[in-house]
Amino acid sequence: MLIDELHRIQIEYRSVLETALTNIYKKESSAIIDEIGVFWERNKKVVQCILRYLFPPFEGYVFTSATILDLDDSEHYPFISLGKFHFWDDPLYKYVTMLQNTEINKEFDQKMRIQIISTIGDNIKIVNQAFGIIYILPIRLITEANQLAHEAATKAFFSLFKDELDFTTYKNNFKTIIDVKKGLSVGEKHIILLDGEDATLDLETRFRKYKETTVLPLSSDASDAEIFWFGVYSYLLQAFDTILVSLEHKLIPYIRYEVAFKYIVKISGNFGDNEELSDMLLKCIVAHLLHHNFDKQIIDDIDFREYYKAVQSYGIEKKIFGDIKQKNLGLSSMSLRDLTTIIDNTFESFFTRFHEERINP
Amino acid sequence: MSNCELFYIKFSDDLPDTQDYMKQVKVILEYYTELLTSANPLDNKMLVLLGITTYSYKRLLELVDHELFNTISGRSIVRTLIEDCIMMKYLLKHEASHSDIWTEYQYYGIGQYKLIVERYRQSDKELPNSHVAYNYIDILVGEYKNKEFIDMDTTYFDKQNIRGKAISVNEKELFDFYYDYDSAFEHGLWGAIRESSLIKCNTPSHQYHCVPDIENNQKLNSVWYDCVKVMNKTLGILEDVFGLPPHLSKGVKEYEQ
Repeated sequence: MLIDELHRIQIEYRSVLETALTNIYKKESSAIIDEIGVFWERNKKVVQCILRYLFPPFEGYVFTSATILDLDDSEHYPFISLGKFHFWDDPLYKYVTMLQNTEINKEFDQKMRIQIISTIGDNIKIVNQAFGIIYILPIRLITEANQLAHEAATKAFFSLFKDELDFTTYKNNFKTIIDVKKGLSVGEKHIILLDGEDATLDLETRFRKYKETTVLPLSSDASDAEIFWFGVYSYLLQAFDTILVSLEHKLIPYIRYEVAFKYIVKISGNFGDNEELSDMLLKCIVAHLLHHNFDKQIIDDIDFREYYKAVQSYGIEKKIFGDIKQKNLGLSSMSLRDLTTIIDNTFESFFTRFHEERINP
Repeated sequence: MSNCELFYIKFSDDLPDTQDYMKQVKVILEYYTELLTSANPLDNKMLVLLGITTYSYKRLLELVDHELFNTISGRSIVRTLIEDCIMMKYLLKHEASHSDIWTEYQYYGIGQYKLIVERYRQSDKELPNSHVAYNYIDILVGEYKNKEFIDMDTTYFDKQNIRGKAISVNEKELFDFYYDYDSAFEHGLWGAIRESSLIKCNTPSHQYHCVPDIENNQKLNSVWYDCVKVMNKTLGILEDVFGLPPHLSKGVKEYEQ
């Protein structure tokens, strides 16, 4: 009955999304977008029930900290390679709320609308192409940990600086990126701003690139210090939120974005010696490495459902973590090279068998 | 007259490990309750089946909380669990041949309550210290429908006794090997009295008579494992009707002996 409810929600959500996509350019677009928020509020209790009971602890993966899953780029293939249950942490609800609250920056507003359209389109594809395999749920919507994440991120942000600061003293004492750099207690290489940035460059250069390429919901006369705060604080908030949400619902976060992943690893030490968190993080790291090493060319001619059936039957996750245990690899004895080798070898064996079975069924 | 040389039969009174099993059962019932309230709050069928299961669960809680495994009350509890299980299966089997068996079943029970209340009211008696809260159960009788429109049926539900129901749902063994025996305890029949409340004298000149067990030495064989078996059967009925995530159902099946 619970799985039937989950399927019902997916189908109904698709109708809401299709209506939203059709009407988003019309005058009543705000009301149409509101429908998304109303839909999830109406189904909130069932979603809570699903997250509490549908899957055993830490056997579900949640694709999170991303704007879209991106089926057109075959991102769903590596995602479903590990674990038995797969959830796409739908950010639409949050975007809708942001759109309703932001009147500061028209450019941000416009970019947000474009993002919403893109995410709606991708979500519809998820229901059409991955129904019964990947489930769309706004997991952060029904998570209680938000306030805790905000407090933790604020504390973590100000701990980057030599002096004891709060918002008022930060705003008064720091204006330019040079001010910020002089005030940092951590080395500037610990501050990550963009995916794939050259870490050898100084903070000023990287920050300039960040400003040039990122549209933020801040006024055009915001100071460097304000922009720096917004950028880094947002990453820290996202990292704390991801960990807290995953722990609360006993899910493994699947993180595609390099910056988000690095901040999660950085702040994980704040949670002390927690066995559940350690196991979750190890799986998160493996999932991230898998994503980055996954060769999409190999699955070019493989139907998604056929691939899903094959990985479930082969038990890729069990094999990878079996080898990890055998080699005594863990968070404390981490070797990314060894992990990558295990993942690559497992997939090589899998695809060899997969193609053999295709030829000789 | 010489003294009695009394003896009683000692059964193992080691307490079983109940904590983990009860926790698993509770999680399953929490799951169904959340499902009911979030997805189908007005589903009468689910309410009735879950209501009966909850009653069984509460009786099981009494067994565990008060360590009644080796007692007379323990047999009353396992008897209830069996009757509830048979009734659930019976209601499901005959659902199609009734327009609304779930409401019928509820009003059969409420009708019995109405009879109890009316009998009391018509007697003009005052029983201020009675455990029967007549005023409260009168409110329950009229909870959803004016009590004038509620029938009082003095026969068995669906005109069939528990034995007939057990046979119709392929649970004759439960009736023959457990329920009938437990009924002797429920009704205080002599067999149950002899087994639980009298102890033997070994003095030949006393002709091996029996003596009342006022010191409560004679315990009984534990009902725990039979309760687990029947409770799992009951949960299995819910699983067949409404489904259950496999990792939840696995948790209780491990405890069966």
